[in-house]
Amino acid sequence: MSIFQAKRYRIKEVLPQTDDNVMLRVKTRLNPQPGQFVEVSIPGVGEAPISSASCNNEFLDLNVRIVGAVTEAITKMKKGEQVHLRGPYGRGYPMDYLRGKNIVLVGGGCGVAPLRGIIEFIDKHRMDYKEIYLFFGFRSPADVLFKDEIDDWSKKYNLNMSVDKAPEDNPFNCSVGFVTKLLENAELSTDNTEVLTCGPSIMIDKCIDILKSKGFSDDKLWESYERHMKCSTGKCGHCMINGKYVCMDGPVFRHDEVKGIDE
Amino acid sequence: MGRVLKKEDYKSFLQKLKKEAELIAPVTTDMTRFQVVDNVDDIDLNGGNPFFPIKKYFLPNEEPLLIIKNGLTKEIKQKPKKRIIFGARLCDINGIAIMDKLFLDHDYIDEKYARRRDNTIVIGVNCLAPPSEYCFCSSMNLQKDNCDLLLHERETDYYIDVLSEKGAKFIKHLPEEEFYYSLPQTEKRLGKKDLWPYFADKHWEKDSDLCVSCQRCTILCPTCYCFDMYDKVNPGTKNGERMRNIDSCHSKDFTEVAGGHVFRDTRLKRYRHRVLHKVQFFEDKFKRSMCTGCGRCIEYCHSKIDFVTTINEDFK
Amino acid sequence: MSSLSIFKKEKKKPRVAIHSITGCAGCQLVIYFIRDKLLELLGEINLVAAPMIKGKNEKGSYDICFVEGMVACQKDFDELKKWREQSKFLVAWGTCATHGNVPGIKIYMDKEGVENRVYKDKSHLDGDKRPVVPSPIKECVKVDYEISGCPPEEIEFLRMMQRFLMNVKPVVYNEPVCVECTQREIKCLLEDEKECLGPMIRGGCNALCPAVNHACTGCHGPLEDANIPQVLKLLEENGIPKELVKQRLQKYAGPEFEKLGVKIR
Repeated sequence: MSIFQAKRYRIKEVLPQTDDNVMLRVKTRLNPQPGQFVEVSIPGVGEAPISSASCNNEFLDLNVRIVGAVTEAITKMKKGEQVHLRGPYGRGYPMDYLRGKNIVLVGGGCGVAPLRGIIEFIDKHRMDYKEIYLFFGFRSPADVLFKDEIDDWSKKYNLNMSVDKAPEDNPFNCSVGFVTKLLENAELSTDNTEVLTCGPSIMIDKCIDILKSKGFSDDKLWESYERHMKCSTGKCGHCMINGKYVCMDGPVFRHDEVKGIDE
Repeated sequence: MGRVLKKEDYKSFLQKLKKEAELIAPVTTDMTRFQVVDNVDDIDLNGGNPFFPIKKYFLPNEEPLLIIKNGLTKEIKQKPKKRIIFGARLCDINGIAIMDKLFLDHDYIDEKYARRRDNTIVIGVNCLAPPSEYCFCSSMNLQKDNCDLLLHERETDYYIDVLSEKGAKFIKHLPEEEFYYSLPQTEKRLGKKDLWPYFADKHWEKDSDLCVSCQRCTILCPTCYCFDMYDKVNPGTKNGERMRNIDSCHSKDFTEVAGGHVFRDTRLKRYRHRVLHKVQFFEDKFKRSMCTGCGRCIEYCHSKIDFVTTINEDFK
Repeated sequence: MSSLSIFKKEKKKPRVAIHSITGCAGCQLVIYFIRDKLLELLGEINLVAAPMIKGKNEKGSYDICFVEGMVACQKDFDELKKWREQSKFLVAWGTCATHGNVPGIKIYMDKEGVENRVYKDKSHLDGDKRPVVPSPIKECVKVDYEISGCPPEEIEFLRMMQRFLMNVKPVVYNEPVCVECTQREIKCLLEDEKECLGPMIRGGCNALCPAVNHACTGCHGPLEDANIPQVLKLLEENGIPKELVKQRLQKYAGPEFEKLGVKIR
């Protein structure tokens, strides 16, 4: 069988999130690990790599942000229709290695989606992990993803949420400003603590600067890279940065592996 | 142990090959190209290294990967043609060995490539002298065991080195001989292989300013394999194919992500990426340089940008 | 059958129009010459206006309107504005529409001189026939997609229609002529000291001209990312007269080259 052949899976539910984010709940046992991704395709339109936003054996949540032709077409799909998936691909977050540690999750915008998979994983294995801190930032209250779950997360974990601006009202009563500001003001102990980040590269860079000034060493920081993976099998070359294939060696890297990497 | 083919039997040997399978060899018209041979008299081993490397017979410029029908993707069931490629030089043959590392030895085996590989016999020809002033293969550690047979021309005959079982069966009837021959020696050599210390060298820019982003260097490279995937569909029927086409890291779109951001946004970054991928990145990962020293990227560059000279002379 | 909604027959077929202003009409002909595939396509779309091949043409509310030609007179401008208002997507079809092309060369010449040479009697050149500064249509109205070419390739039309029918954004071929030329293993004309503009010109033509030993004259217009100064230097090194290069650049896409910083006046 061709490595590019995809299988069909039924969409269980379409869960609109914001103006430009739609989450598809797909019935599948693929169960990617947190941080891994799948190639989602619509034959005739094309393929797009989408991160897993869940972690279970019954379904797969794919939060799709409309940024191009394929993602636009995916978000137009309806419940009961079938979507083509291949994967899962890549190296996800090191959940085994993180056992017994405090975990800080920092996410910005649709970068929160892969972290949602980690939360689901931790929910199931709560005893294996210590303190969990969440730092989530969104552009505005209207852009907040997973609105129904925010409440639950704030009860279970140490949730810190911000919106860049709140022009009208702020139903989440969260702070206004960049998530990096929240992180800067937070009191975090570096003891037995690892930080997992996902979001726009400018946010990740800023977060890493802040965390390092707080005393975190490079090997305690994990970041997820964004590239346009076409084949996802380490061949097509599109996602390669200085010899590292984001699709195979990543998308999650430990900061010391990619530190100072220049294009 | 090899075999000896007398020059007077050379033509009948080629005719025998042609009967076996589709025969591909260098043919000279306005320039020398690898092409399907109709008449073995057309084969020209003295026309210099053919313009386009043999990679096109393993990884075509464009090919369908899957069939799209009624909104589904289906496998393409098609047996590739049996082929014999005759007259490939060691740079191209090593190019295939390098692509093998990626398409065969990786966690995901590319089925289309693998099938073509299985169905192709490669008969190489050893260069007595470098065919072009741009060749620098002697510095690239070329191996001869990546083809099935290798011809070495002598005064009155060809010594044929037998390098695989597949190749051996064609020449079982020829007399055996043990003979040592040397691989071509080029004057041009790549002097440095570790380029990490020169990542930020200012001389990259000297070269990239001359680059017109025409992508000829990547298209004609015997090892450039990067590709793009897209769906080609007939607007009337909505049926079509999921295609793979050769892409180039010299194209600005290459690192574009959804939303429009381009990671390698300058010509300098793109040029440096190509050279470093050839000389450094692949070596780091697979312990072998991805460059085979054929010199096509210099010879056919519009601006004759010579990364070998830049590395040798400017990087200090 | 497919379970995807985008593959289900929509009740409403997109309303497509093919209109023309000043130009040679060759770009429209490309579409009509597609024949078989066009017939298939006609089952999927509603070609509501195509004055060249249809007697009865509907006005208004087009989903996609292809416009060939460039704005040379007031009437062109008025019609273009009307089509823009009536269309969801407006596509500039062909180099006249995208870059001005041959009719646009007028901007590099004496306006009176050109008009006197073309028209013996200039008396009818008033009212809505009044000449305006010749310009590509994007200078006059908002254009959603551009496909250049003199004429453009049928594959580009089909590719665009495919995407429209899939309800996704079209993509346009965006590599230099050299890509297809090298892939077809054509002997390089620039290397042969010819006046080939290939490296800075948008391809998609499958290297039509170089394949018949004719240097690329640049009918698709420049690539945004082209290294134009270096290509001009290569042409100079080939001994191509500056005047000839200037004429070639003026011919199809003068204003576009000027936008990219080339002095051709």
